[in-house]
Amino acid sequence: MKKIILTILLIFICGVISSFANKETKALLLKADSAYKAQDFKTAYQLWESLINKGYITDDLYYNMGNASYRMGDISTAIWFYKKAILLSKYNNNAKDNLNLLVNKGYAQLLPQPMGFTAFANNILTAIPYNILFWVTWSVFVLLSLFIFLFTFRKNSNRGHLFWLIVFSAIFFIYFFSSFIYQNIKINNSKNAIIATQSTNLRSSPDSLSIAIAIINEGTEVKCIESIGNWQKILTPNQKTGWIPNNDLLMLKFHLPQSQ
Amino acid sequence: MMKRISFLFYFLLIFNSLFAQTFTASTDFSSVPINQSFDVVYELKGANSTRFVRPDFEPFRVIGQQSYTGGGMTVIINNKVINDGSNSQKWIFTLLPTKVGSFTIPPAKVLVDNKWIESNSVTIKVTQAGSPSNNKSQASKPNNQLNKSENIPQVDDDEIFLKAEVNKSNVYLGEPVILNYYIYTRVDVRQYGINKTPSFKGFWSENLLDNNTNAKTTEKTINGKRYVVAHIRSIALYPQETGTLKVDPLEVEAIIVRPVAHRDPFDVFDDFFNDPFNFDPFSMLSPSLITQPEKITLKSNPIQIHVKPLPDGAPASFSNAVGNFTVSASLENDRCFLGENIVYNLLISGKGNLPLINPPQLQLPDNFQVFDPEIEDAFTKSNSGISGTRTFKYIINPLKAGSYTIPPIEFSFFSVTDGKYITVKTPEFNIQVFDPGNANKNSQVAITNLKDDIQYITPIKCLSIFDKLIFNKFFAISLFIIPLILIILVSIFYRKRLKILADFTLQKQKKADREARKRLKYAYKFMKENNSKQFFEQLLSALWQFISDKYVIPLSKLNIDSAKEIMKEHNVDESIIDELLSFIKECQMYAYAPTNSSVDLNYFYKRAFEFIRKKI
Repeated sequence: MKKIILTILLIFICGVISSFANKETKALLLKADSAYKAQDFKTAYQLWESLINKGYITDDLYYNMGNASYRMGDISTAIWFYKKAILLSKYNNNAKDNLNLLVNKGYAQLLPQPMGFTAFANNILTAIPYNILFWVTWSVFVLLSLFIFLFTFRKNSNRGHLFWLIVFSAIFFIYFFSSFIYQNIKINNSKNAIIATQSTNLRSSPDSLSIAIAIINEGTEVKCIESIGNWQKILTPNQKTGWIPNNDLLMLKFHLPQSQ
Repeated sequence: MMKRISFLFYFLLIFNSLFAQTFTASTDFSSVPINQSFDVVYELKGANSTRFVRPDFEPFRVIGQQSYTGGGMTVIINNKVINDGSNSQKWIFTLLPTKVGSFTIPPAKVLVDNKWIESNSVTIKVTQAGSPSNNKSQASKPNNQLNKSENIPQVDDDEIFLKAEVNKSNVYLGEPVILNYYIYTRVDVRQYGINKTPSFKGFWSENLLDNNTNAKTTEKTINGKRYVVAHIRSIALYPQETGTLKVDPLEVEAIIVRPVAHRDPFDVFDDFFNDPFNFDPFSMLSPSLITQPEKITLKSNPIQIHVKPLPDGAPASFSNAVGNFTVSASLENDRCFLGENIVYNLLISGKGNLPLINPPQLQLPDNFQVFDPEIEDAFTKSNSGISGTRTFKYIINPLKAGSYTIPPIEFSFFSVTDGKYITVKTPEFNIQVFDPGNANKNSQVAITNLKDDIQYITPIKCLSIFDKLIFNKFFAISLFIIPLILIILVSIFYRKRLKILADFTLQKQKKADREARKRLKYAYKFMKENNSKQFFEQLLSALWQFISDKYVIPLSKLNIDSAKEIMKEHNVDESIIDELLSFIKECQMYAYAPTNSSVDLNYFYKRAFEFIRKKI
């Protein structure tokens, strides 16, 4: 027992120490901030990008990169970044405001928000931002396993309280874990994408010789339904489906804006 | 455009008039010079006469006669008889004295309801006349002149003339002047038409009388002569230049029917056949009169108007408005979406040079596009000028969403009555422009929105290693699996240890029997040697060892009391415990007592063996 607690504590302490001791990332962040302040958006973007490449994934980083992209004039990438930041934490109001602004200005056109039960479920399952949710889920998981362990090795007379603790922690664990899985899928396997090229032809079949059935503007959010070879079948905000080459899309499932 | 007025002589036949009837003869003069014509008016009030018998006018010569019914005259316009005023009939005779002296004109007679009514008689004194009046009377015989003259016949000024009148001749720049044209006539005018309209140089003109309506007629007496006055034209003139401005004369072409006094009053038949109006009772009564249509040109008198410049100190917002005005402004809509328009109406009402008012400038914030205003006029023209309203319709096109204020518009005008400039301000207006995209959001905007921009970046203090780790799939999975494995391992280890512990006691118990038997063997050996002391020692150690092993209690802690307790815990029968313990006590007694050979060692051995075999 003591050993388990000790190991957990050790991991935490190690983590805290390593996070505070990470002077390199701190220096990079400061550099990026000052570069942005000095209107050197490209440098700032590259610095933040290097952090994301290192595996530091937070909504604030994405939000900042979105701002840098906007300032550099790359609207579709900016929309991608804001979208990603909101995906990581729906409480990132800055990203929401900026995305709203782009929508109002006509630069962005988003897919319609889910309605009814879907919206309700979505709200509940995204109530806790992903980076917090992970640790909450993990702690509840550890607690639940401990309770179950204790339960099995206790004599019958002392089991009463433990049983209810297990029931409650199990309920919490189910909620947190389902929320965690849901968000994980949304972040890492999102089917949404942003149109990156000025205006693209939406084609009726996955080849460049087929009929163009619509023109999609840059900054439109679309949903990928299926892919064949180098082509994606997409659903546009006005419920039109068609085929688009991969190169025109920035997929939201990646850590950085890129096509398939 | 030709205008038609017919003065026709006729009588109305209306019977059973119940009004009191008066029939009077009158003249404006009591004495006239010789060769100066004058009018004698016979007026019948309150009745309609079917016949009129004129008196003998000797020694006056009748040079003209007119008859009116109603308030002065009856006019036929567009085949409708228009009667105005009181119910009266008039017969007017224009007489020319031929002799000097005092004469009395005998009464005339009218037939009313089959009764003859006589008027009073009129006495006129005729004095010696001067030479110019003599000329005039010569000119009043146009028969001779008409034949000699060219196309434009010369007409006696007295009989018909065109007069121009202005209400003011000394005005400010922009102050309206009303110019009226009247035809004064003593003869019938069949029709008339304006030949030449003056160019009104230096003025902005506005016709006040509708050309389609007929001229209004009145009666006027000038120098004892009755004239029918037709108001043919009324023009509002707005001076655009300062100085003395001249108005050119108006030329009117008219066809007149002039009664002509015949030189030979006895040539009855000739006149009779010449008369185109056979029904005219006068031609029956006075066969010496004939009528003849004639085309004449009338020219008005020229007019001069002095235009003063407006006084100095005009406000910046002065836009040529002279008169008395009130200003009101209103918005047709005070909120709109981007792409729609806001309509601002500036209404100027009053009297003055309304048609000449320039649109005042509308000062707006940068985010607006204003087009030149549409002008909507609602003027009423009267004899005193133009009044009404002029509306400037500004169409404002907002370019950006937000909340704005339209500043007041200043409007200045020169008030002629007060002789100074007056500036009027419209109220301020608040307008709201919504973005159609987020209409609900911006419904209450307190801050004027200039330009939208993105928010500033979020400064990130530091990045936690956890942010890095949770996106590492291996780490994330292992973080869940490691505790699980740990717990499973721990539980397996714990279970095994329990199992081992359980095995240890079992073996000890198993060993207890074997060990006890081993020690009993030694005891048996000492029993054979008859070494009682050694025998008892071995016997005791065998028993203690057996209890210790059996009930898993260390030898050091074992004594009579603890043995009893632990055996009780293991639910051993009380009697057996007591038997065993008493046996042990007996053995101890023999073991530490002095040598005593009389003891049956075999008996003790068998009892101890029994205890162990029974496993207590």
